[in-house]
Formats: sequence, C-alpha cells, structure tokens
Amino acid sequence: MGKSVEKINLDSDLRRHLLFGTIGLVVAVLIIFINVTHDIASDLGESIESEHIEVQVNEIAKVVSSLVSTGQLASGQNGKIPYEYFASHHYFLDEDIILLNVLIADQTFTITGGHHFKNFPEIVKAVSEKKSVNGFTKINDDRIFWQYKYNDGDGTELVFARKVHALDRAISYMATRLSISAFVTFWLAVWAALIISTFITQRFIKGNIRLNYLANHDSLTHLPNRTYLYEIVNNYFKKNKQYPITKKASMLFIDLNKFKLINDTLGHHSGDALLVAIAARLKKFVTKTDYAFRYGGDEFIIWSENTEQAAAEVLAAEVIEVCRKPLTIQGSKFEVSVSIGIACYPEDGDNFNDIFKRADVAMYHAKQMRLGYQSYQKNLDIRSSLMVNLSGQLNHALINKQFIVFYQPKVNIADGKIFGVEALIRWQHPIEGLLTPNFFISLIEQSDFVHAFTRYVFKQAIAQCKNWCDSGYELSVAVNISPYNLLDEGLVTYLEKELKQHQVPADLIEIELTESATMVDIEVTKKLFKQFRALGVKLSIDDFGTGMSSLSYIKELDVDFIKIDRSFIINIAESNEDEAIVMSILLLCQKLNRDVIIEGIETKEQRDKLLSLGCKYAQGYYFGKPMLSQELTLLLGKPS
Amino acid sequence: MKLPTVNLCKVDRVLRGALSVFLIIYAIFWHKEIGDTLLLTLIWVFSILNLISFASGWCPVYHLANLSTYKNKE
Repeated sequence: MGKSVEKINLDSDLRRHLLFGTIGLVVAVLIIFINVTHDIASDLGESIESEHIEVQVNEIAKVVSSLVSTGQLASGQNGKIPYEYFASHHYFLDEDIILLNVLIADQTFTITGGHHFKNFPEIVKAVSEKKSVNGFTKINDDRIFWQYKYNDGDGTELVFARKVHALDRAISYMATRLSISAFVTFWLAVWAALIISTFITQRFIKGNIRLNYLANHDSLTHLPNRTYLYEIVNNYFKKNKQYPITKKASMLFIDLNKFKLINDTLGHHSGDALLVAIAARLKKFVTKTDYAFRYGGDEFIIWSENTEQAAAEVLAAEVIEVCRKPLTIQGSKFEVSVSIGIACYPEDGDNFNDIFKRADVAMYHAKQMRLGYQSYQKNLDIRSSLMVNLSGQLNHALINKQFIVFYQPKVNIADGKIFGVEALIRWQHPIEGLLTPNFFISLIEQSDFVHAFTRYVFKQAIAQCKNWCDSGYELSVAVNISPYNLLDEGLVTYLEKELKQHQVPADLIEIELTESATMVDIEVTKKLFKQFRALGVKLSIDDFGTGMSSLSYIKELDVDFIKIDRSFIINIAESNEDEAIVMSILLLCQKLNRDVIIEGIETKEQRDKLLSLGCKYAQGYYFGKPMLSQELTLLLGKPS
Repeated sequence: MKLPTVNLCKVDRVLRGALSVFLIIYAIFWHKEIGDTLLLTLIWVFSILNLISFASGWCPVYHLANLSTYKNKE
C-alpha cells in the first residue's frame, strides 16, 4: 500500500539527463582541449619553422649581397640567377625551397637551376601587397612558408618560399594521441556518468518516494488519502474498460457518528486520537483488493474490488462491529458508532463521481435513520437532494419565520388535566409543505444556525407561555435543546432576558435534553444545568433508557423530570419486560425524588396499564397530538 | 556473496569483444604511434575489462549503475 500507483517517471528521465549531461560536458571539454592543443602545436610548429627559415633567408641574403657587391648580380642583367652562384659561395639550396626571387632596383631575378623553382603568383601577390613579411600558404597539399626580406645595405629585396614539415609532423602526433586520449577520456566519462547518475537517481528516488507518500497519505492516520483513492478507483475503471470483464466493486463510505461533538467537547487531541484508533482498525480490512482511505474529517472509505453488494454489506457489518469495540482515549472510554453507505460498481455507476456520490447519499441515509449501513437505492437520491436544498434555505426560513412551534399537551394520567406542553418545531416550507424535524434538525445541528434556532424556539415558547398566562392558563412549556446548545455560553443570559421581558415566571419553562446528549461531557452539562437551575427553569432528561449513559447520570444531574422513552411503552400492555423496566425506573425516580413523564401513549390500554403502575404524568397521541397554540388554547377551554 | 548475474545482451557482448580485439591488436602493433605509456596502459585495461565482459556477459559498471541490457526471454 505504501507504493504509489503513479509511476515515478522521473527516474529514467533524470538518469538520461544526467548521463547525457555528463557525456555532453566531457565532449565539450574534449573539443576545447583538442582545439587549444591544436593551436599550441600549430603555433609551436610555425615558430620553429619561421626561426629556421629566417636563419636560411639571412644566409641567402648574405650571398645575394655578396653577388651584388661583386657586381655579379646587377641591374640590367637578365632576370635569372644560376643556381651555381650559391654553390660557389658555399651555400647549397635544399630541395624544399620552391621560390627565391631577388629584386634589385625594380628588377626581379629568379633562381634557376636543377630545382623545382616556380613562380607562385599567390606568394608574389601577398608580398606585393605587403600585408605581412611572412606567412603560410598551401599549394598542392604542401604547406609552404614564405618570407620577404629587405636589405638596407644594398637595397635588395628577397622573396623566399619553402615547404615546411615540422608543423605537419607536430599536428600528426597530436592528432593520434589526442584521438586516443579523447577515446579513453570519453570511455572513463561514460563510466563515471553511469555510476554518478545511478547514485544521484537513487537519492532522488528515495526523496521522491517520500514526497509521493506524503502526497498520497494522510499525515494523521497514515491511511492513503483522497488523491490515492481517485487513482485506485479510476485505474480500476480504466482497466475494466480496457478488458471488458464483468467485475464488481463496492465503495463503503464510513462516517463516524457524533464525531464533531467529541471534537468540540473533549478537544481536537481526543478527536485526533479517536481517528487514529479507528484508522488502525480499518487497516485490518486492507487486503490485496480491499483498500482503506481517510477521505477527510471523520470520513473514511473502503474500496473493495471484486465485491458485490451482499458481500459489501457483510463487510460493512464487520466494520461496524470492529469500530464499536470500546476504545480508551486519554483515560476515557468510548464506543464509536459509524454509519456506512454502500455503492456498487457497475449497478450504481461506472465512474468515480457517481459511485462516490451514491455511497455518500446512502451513508447519509444510514446516519439519519440510525441504520448502521445502507446500500444505495434510487429513492435515496430524492431525499438527499431535498436535504441539500433544505440546507441552503435555513437562514431564509429562520428570518421569514417559517419555523412554527407546535405544542403537545402533557397531562395528569388520572384526570387527563393538561399541566404543561412540549414545544415541537415544524417547518412550514413554501414548496415542500409542512416538514417534521426529521428533515431538518440534523441540518440545523450541522449548521451555524443551531444557537440562533434554539433561541428562536425559546422566544416563541416564552411568548406563548405569556399568552396563556394572560388567558389564565398556567402551563409549563418544555423546549428541547440540542447537545450543541450546551456550548452556547450566552444561552442562560438570553433566557433570563427573555423571561424578564415577557414577565414569565422561570419555573414555567422547562428544558429537555436527550439522554444521549447529556452523556457527551457530564461536566459541561452539569455546569450548564446548574446555571439553568439558578435561573429557576425546570430541567428534564428526554428519551430516557435509550442512550448509552449509565444510571450515574441521573445521580449526577439535578433534574426535575425523567421522560421514559416511547420504546418501552409501545408494548407495555403485553410485555412483562417493558413493565419491569418501567416499574424499575419509576421506583428509582421515586427514591431519587424525580418526577417521571411517560412518552408515546397512544391507546387506552397503555394509559390504564401505566396508571395501574403508579405513573402520574404522560404525553402522547392518546391525550393530544402536537398542535398549534390556538388549537391548544381551545382544548384548554374544554372540560378534561 | 551474491554471484554476478549476466547483464549484457548478445549485441552488447559482441560489440565489446570486437572492440577489445581491435584495441589489443592496435596496442601491440602500433604502440609506437600511441607513444604515451599512460595511454597505452589505459587501453590495455579497457581492452581486458571488455574482454572479460565479453566472455562472462557481466559488466561491473552496469552492475554498479544498476543497468542491464540483458533481456530475459521469459
């Protein structure tokens, strides 16, 4: 899993660049080296040749001077000097001399005799132009050095040319040795380049692998991240398109339930530790075909290749089971529940976006419905798009007062007299109609409006309470608060201000907190409950018996009412177990001096049974559905 | 110690063999033309190393550089 899918293409490229770079450098150095050496050899050869020829020309000049002074060579003679003239002066012209012209008073004398003397116009032209006094030229593949000399004493001029060999020899030596040196150097350079490039590439690859790992893995949990997920899934689809084998695959979208709450109340350290622990558990599911990823936040993905829906559901159940095992984080024990959405290839989509979106939709549904896991179905999409729509309209709805408070009566079981109400919120949506809290409470809890929303409900409830007081009905109004509201430090002050403004006695307002919410952090809850208590409002624990809290919470929290969850009431008339539980709670609350309210009474049998068990207060459709305040006022007017 | 494995392909081996034979002949018969002892020594070393590579199919430089021109038929 550590290896990236993305191939490190830089590997061979880098090596090739290094190799060619080094060899190129060596070739450039060799060219410079050969060039400079060639120039040095040429300069040296030329210098030796010119020194040698100067000596020769001086000797010839002496002979010519002597011939002129003795009158043997004078103006007016024909333009030839016999070769023997030089021999008679003990100077022997060698074979390599190809031109020797002597100029006396504008008359040119050419040496004649048994040699290959010729008149070379190129040399004569160069001399006549007198750009220089000597130089090299090439005639018929022979290198020729020529020299011009003017004799001050008798006004004679000499033009002399001679084949030269030293320079060619020097260049020939140099060419042979330099070629061999270049070959050897080049060969050494290739060796060096190969070895150096390997070392550098290896270092680079190591760095690259590390970078790749960082880019493809989550630094907290060390699970592969979403970049890696895209690659794995897209590669799978690509492969499947190339070789059309009907393979299946499933994506499990895993989301931790109530993670935000843990993060917010226990701090990010605990949240991070929890993520790491969960990631470690998910790693156990990694096989050759099953991959685990951290997508972001508290979202994880398992991508299981060659797995169809039924097998994916088995896998999801296993994941839930494994995650649920108790965890100890910084001394506190946790049981983490997760919600999993499953989307399968090819039935739910044949590209990443579709599969991912559908797994997300299914997860959302699983979370909403507390199902644990849920496979994607088409009808989920409709609900999901509604949720997305609604989440974008919360602020508008709040400003336009589309949230309406309904009131459900709480009664004395014995005489059916209403002693209080529970405020329940509905959304009067302009298009969707009247929406129950199932549709929007979780959206609000996840939004920034959670505090504003609760304050809005309080304001409505207090105003209504005041109305009833003015009409002569002293009813307590219960308002449910979200666990997130426990973090709203200004809530108590707000409540105090509203109560004062509406002149409503504090004990007519009741705050209900669900049991699962109280368990988040008992200290935070206790502190807030104390403040509420000081204000004078009543407190109750809602849905008691369904959450995960222990009995110690009832002991720890100073509340007025315990509301027994409806799940114990549904079968109370027939079920001995439910009866036993309710009786125990009643006894417990009696001992602890807490009042009990039974929720969800729908039939007369339930009511009679509970009355016989000694319950005093109840709430449910049997006594009254949630209704608008006007309807409730009418109900209050009727005899019970 | 791990035995060196073959890392040269046929063409690579033949080229190396031909080059070494050429250089050895050159070094023997034209050593005067080369003239320089250091160069001559280097040519001998190069020839002999390549001859070994030709015979064994293994090149130490390729080995160090983690290269191979040898293609496994599998």
